[in-house]
Amino acid sequence: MSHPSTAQGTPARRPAWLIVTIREIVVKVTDRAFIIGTLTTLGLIVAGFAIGFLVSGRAQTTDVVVTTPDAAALARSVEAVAKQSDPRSSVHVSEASSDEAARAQVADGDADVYLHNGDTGWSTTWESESDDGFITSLTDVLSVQTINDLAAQAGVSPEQISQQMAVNVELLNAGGTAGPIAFIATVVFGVLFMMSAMTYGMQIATSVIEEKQSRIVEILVAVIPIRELLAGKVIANTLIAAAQVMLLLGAGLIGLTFTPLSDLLPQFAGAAGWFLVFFLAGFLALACIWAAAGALGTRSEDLNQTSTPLMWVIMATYVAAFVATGTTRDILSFVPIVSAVLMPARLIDGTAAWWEPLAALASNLVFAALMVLLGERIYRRALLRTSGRLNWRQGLQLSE
Amino acid sequence: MLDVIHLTRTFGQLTAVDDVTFTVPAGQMIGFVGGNGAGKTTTMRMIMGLLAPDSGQVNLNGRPITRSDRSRFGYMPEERGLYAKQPILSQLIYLAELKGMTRDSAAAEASGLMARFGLGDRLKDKLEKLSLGNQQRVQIAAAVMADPIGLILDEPFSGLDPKAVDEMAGLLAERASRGVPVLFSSHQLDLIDRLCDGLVILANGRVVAAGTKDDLESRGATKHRLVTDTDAGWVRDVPGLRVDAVDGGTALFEILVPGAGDDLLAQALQRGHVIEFTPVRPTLSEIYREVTA
Repeated sequence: MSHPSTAQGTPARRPAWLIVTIREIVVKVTDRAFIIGTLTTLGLIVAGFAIGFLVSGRAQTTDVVVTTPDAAALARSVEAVAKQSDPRSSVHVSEASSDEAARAQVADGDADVYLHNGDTGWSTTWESESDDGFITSLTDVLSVQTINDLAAQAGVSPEQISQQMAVNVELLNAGGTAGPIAFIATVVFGVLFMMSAMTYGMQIATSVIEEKQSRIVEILVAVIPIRELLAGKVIANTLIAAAQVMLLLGAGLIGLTFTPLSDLLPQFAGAAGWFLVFFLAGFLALACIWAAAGALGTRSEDLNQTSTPLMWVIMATYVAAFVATGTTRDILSFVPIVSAVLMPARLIDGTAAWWEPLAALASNLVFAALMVLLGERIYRRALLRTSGRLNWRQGLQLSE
Repeated sequence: MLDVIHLTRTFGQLTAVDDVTFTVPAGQMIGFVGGNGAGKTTTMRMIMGLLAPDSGQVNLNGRPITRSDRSRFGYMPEERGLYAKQPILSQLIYLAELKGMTRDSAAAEASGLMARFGLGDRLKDKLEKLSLGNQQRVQIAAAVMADPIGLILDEPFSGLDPKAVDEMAGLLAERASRGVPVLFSSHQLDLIDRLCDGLVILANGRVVAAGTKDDLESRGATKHRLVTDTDAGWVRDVPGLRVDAVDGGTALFEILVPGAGDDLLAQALQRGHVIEFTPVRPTLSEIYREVTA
């Protein structure tokens, strides 16, 4: 009888943990609910950016109708100024044959505004509502022109004037409070962490308890070491979670290039990269504990109880992301798991020195190693107990 | 050859398995019998290394069984266990891969077994779509794949119809004929009677009887039955016999003194026709009831 067994050391075959990993991944990525869920989330992100893009894009193109070359030139200057604050805003200029024709175009909606020089200066004629952005840009252009004219009359250079008009901004406590962008990033990281850590953590626990409930675990454990079974599960789900986080972050970053925040892309991308690294470390720290939560139960319903401590940790991380400020925030950014959200956020607002993410990551990895050992111990000892749900205290006290 | 040697396991106050010793010879099918809670499942779990014994050991071919030996055993747990929501072919391949088969050869063997069970066109169906009997076939297939060096099957036939039982029994007999020791538990004594080379009877965690069917059948006193065409009441007066029952022309008795049977037969021939004079061996059920009583 030929048998490719490890005992006989015949041809190299895949190690058991890898076979388990492959199965977990294949089962997951061919699961309809998983595919639909991922595509839906992705779709929501794309739709969010697309809607934002469309809405903002529509407001920023202004159709201007004029009757004189002066007005047309002014409209182009307005466009130049408007583009400085938002590169995607544009002004489309068309000429009408007469004052009446121009007004008719505005009334019919063919043009947004009729720009003309009246007896008392420049006028804009709108259908029912004026566009503040356009008016602001127009006012800027006229102010500059007027100042330049006056400066020329007074024999002063335009540069001197603008220097006198410039207001310098000085921050005594730069970065002391998170700016709105850092706050948004914190929220995004917080939501992403909570969503993924919970989904995939629960996935590990569910997969463990399913095997336990169906008793296939007895067949598996008779064939391969418990540790390899656990490793396969944890690695597979960590990979799937990381892939999904990457997918969502990637979609978000690509979406960002279509928004006015695209200048901040390098900063966001860097922080997103750190988030991914921290997410992996944080997820790994909890993964084996999730497996232990599964092993403590005997039926799927038991997960409600056994996963409670994990839910608290994840919720606390999520809440900390919103609530923590100042020194508390700085300290928490070194605390394992919470650091997954807070340290990347601090990187975005620029308050973290280069060594800080590395230190936080190191503490996270040490913590993860301890948690892996603890989770593995409980998992190994609780896996074959079939006499009802155990609590965590009992789980810790189990002997081999 | 699989030797179970003085295995003992307690759960709290309860001694579930108490100094259990028996042998499953290579190439033989041994039936493992006992009431609910007799300790069969606990013993099997200890053989498979799923439960540590308090004392005692399991030997394979004369040396203590190792993890790698066990990884090549086919095992079927008491409560059926496969992935309900995974297609049957892919999970059979998965389990066989874990036992060391390559993916291709696992796929070939799994397809072959399924075709043999008439499930060849359902390879891609999820397990839960199959009837319970067919799920059980898949479960047995999972255990016998990858050339096991031993088979430990907890109630493999429960829930199968007679045709399926024959199919599965045939499959197990094939494996046994390759020299594999096969231990399976069952409540169905007639099945054990038909299929097994030997049996081990467990009661309250202890082995109360073990051996081949012949051993067991002959260990109790052999009884005889006499059937004549006249009333057999006179048998009660023949010396050297212990009469169990007389009913019309039929008497059931045990011969206590050698030669007493010959006297009885001679008398019977004088009194009329002898229709039957035969030894009556106890059935397995009777032996089982006797030893577990």
